[in-house]
Amino acid sequence: MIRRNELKVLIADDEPSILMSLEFLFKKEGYKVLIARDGQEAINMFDLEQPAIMILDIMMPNVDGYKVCSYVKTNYKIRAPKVVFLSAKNKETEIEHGYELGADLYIPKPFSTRELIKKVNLIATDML
Amino acid sequence: MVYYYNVCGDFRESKKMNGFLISVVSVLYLGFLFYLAFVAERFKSKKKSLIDNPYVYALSLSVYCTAWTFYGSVGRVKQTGLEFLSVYIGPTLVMLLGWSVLRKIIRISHVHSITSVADFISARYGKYRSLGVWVTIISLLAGIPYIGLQIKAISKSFEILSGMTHGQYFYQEPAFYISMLLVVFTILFGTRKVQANETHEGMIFAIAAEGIFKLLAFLAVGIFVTFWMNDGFAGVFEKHYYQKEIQKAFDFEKQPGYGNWFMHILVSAFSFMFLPRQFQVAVVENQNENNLKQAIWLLPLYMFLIDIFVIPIALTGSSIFAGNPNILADNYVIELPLSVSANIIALIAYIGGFSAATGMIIVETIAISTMLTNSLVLPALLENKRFKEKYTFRIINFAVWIRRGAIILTVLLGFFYYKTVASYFSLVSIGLIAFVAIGQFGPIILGGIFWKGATKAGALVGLLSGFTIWLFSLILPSLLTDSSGQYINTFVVGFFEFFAHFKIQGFDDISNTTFWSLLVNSLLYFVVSMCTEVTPSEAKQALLFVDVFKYSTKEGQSVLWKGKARNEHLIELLVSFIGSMQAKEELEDFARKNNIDLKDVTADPKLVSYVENTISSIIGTSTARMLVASITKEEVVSIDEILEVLKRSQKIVEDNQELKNKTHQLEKLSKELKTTNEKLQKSDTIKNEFLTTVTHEIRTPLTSIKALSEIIYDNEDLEFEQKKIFLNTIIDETDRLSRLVNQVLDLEKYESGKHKLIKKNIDIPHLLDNVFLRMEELAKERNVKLKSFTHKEITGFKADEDKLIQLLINLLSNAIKFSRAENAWVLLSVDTSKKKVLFTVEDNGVGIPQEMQSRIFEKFYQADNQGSIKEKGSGLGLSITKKIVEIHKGSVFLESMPDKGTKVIVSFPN
Repeated sequence: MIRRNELKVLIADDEPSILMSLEFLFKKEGYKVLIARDGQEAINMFDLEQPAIMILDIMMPNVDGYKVCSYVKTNYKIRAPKVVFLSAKNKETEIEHGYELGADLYIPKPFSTRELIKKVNLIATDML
Repeated sequence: MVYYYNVCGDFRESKKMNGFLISVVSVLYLGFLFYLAFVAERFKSKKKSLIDNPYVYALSLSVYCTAWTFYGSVGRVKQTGLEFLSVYIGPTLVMLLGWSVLRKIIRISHVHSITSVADFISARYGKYRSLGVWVTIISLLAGIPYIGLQIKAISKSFEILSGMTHGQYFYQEPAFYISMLLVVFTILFGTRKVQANETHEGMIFAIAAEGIFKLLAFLAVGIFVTFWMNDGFAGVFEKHYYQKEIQKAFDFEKQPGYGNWFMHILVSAFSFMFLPRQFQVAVVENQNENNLKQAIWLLPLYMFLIDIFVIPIALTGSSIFAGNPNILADNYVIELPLSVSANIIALIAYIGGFSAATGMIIVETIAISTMLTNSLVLPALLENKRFKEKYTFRIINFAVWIRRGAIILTVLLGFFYYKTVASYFSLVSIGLIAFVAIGQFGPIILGGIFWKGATKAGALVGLLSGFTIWLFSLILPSLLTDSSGQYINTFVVGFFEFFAHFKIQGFDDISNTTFWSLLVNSLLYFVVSMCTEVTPSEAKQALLFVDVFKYSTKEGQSVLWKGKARNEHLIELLVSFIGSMQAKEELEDFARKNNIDLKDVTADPKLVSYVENTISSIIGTSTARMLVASITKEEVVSIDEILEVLKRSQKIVEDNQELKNKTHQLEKLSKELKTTNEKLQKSDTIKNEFLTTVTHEIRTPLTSIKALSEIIYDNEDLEFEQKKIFLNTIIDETDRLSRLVNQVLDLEKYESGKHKLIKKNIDIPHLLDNVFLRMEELAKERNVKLKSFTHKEITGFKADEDKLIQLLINLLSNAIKFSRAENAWVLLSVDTSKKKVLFTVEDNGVGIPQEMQSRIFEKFYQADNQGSIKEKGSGLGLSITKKIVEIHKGSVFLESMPDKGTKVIVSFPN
């Protein structure tokens, strides 16, 4: 079994109910879960904790998910975290923009929890 | 020029004008023409055209007005009065009524790369060479005297202006040197480059300029004579109309009938289209069919202007020079200004006449030399088997030199004619005699483009019969008389006595010949055509000519060739004409468009047609036909096959036309759409944003519901407390979703005007109680103190109560949501003033920044400063509030200070 508890996952979303469900899901898979309620908090938390995987909403108050992604991808080139966008924005251009900023995965909302976990687990396996 | 000066030096001194000066002016004028032509050629090399416009086109058509017009019109007025107008009415009618015929000829010539009128006629009748040969011969016989006439006009006007008579020998004549300069001009700008679809931009531009010069010069003389020498038009008649001779000329009763008018108009109409030089400018050099549209009125206007002063000059001249029979009416244009020592005007007149003459010589020479080369000499050379074998791929070199030789020959013949034969004929008659000869082309050309049953045999017999009648009745009588006007022998006398039987009363010689020649020509053309069978090659050309608007577009769509050809031979032939560079470019282009592989050994019939068409535009259709036939093995194409192909290409043309129409319609439509769209776009953008936001807002609760449900489903061993929290969240999110849906529907109702307003008397205290009851819970939850205050008692206020409650709840809940933690309160107060009821919701909350205040009533706009925890709301509440105010015809105001609080005032009319 992979030692997932060594992997930190940062979840940033401004919807408490979504945070609640994601926190439950990733904890159950054995990750160490960190929570941020907006973009700025996500950046602060990242600087502090250096999580390996970030699950980002895009439409968040103050600093949006795109900005968070480009922040971590440009400032931490060597040990950049894997970024998974989880957003209700799912126009083609928006998805492309996400990948352009260096995202590793873009999953539109509403998402399937099983699918999400499966894909994030794959990413995690690659990292270990 | 030194040499030239010496020549002039032999002349005796003049008191009129210095001969040397006139020579210098003439040469300078020609130099200017060279310059203009050069400029136009340079523009062309930059892919710009100075001549592709209706004005230059119409002016180039005015090459019809030669020295004959410039000097001869006045002379004709003196003899026959108004009848001089007939030769201008013909062209005017062609332009006004017959432009469609001209347009058809232009279209045919463009499609088939026609290079001359001889080419046109022989191409129509199955590329039959003999026809081309005869048309060339007739054009030459009509054209050479005509050129001679122009040279004579130059020479005469020079003599009159300088007061000198020059020596007997040709080298003593200025006109000879002028002619040689014209040869240089024509060779330079007519054969400088021989290339496909060539047009002589430089020459045409210069000719158009000459059209302006001769018109301005004639107007200058006319104005001088009419307004300076006389007191206007009326003055001319008052002063000079006394002369018997003139009165006779203007008396219709004493003039020989309308038959002359009709015949003269007819031949001049034919000549305007089919004279070699006219065909050259109107058809061969035509850049764009559309230029004809404007020329329809421009050319008649030109004719009108150049004719308007003819009668005043004629009347004044014949009156002033009544006692001087040595001064011919043909020369009044120069003699009148000279008689009052207006030398400058006389010089202007000379230049005008000079430009009229040179313009004619240049274009006529080009046209005739082209015919001589393409329809006479080259086909004859190619008849020779040894020549053909040896030079097939080098024919272009011959073509250029033959053309140059033909130019020199044509001008020299004209000069020779002027020196020797011209004295047999009066000045004026030369022009009309030429017209009648050219008129013989009329039936076979018009028949050729409208009647498919015509055959080459019919055309040849018709043409030759008309030509013979012309020769015997207009040319031979003059040649066969001695100096005293007697026929040279009895046989000739008998012959002409026979001819005299056909003389029609009231017709002059020209009209008489015109009538009989055209009648016999047309009749034989018709009868012989009916008696002979149409061969496939004739039938093909007949179809292509008569139905040109139906079938033909240029890109070799009507491929009517069958046989075997090798690509390498075709390419070699094309290269020999247009050079390897251009050939490569054009061939690749053609191959791409028609999906042909040039590397194949056998050539595609399309390519054969294409090559033939291209070289046709250089050396004429019949020569091109011979060349292509010589390098290919051809099979006869049956008439059925031709019809089959043409039917197909007609479909293509029709489809194209339809497509064009459709495209046109579409363009118009899309333009309209664009304007509408621009209007719509704004509202559309707003709508789009709305939709995007709505979907986003719907997806968010859906995501939670889905995720949580899946979790509960997948984790049967979930703790009871955890499960309860999740289920509760699901219920909340579902509520949120249905609220959102309701609000969107509400908003939609308001915006589309589908809402119903149920107004009734509002009991204010009851209303406030009702609202507060609903807000209690939220206020308590947020620890906000709710207060209300009524300033005055309000009666008779009518509104929709449900909507009013909704509005107040929206405002209050916003105020509560954005309260600050400590000592928060929200005050709802009601007041009335000036027939208004005011509801004010005030709080001491976070406030709204200045820059956002104007936007918070927009849909889905949620002020950014909502703290790190987003307040849940659809972003539609305030929009709905605003709508409710609007449908009550009220208004809403906002006052807010960040960190101090917000005050919203809603005012309703009472």
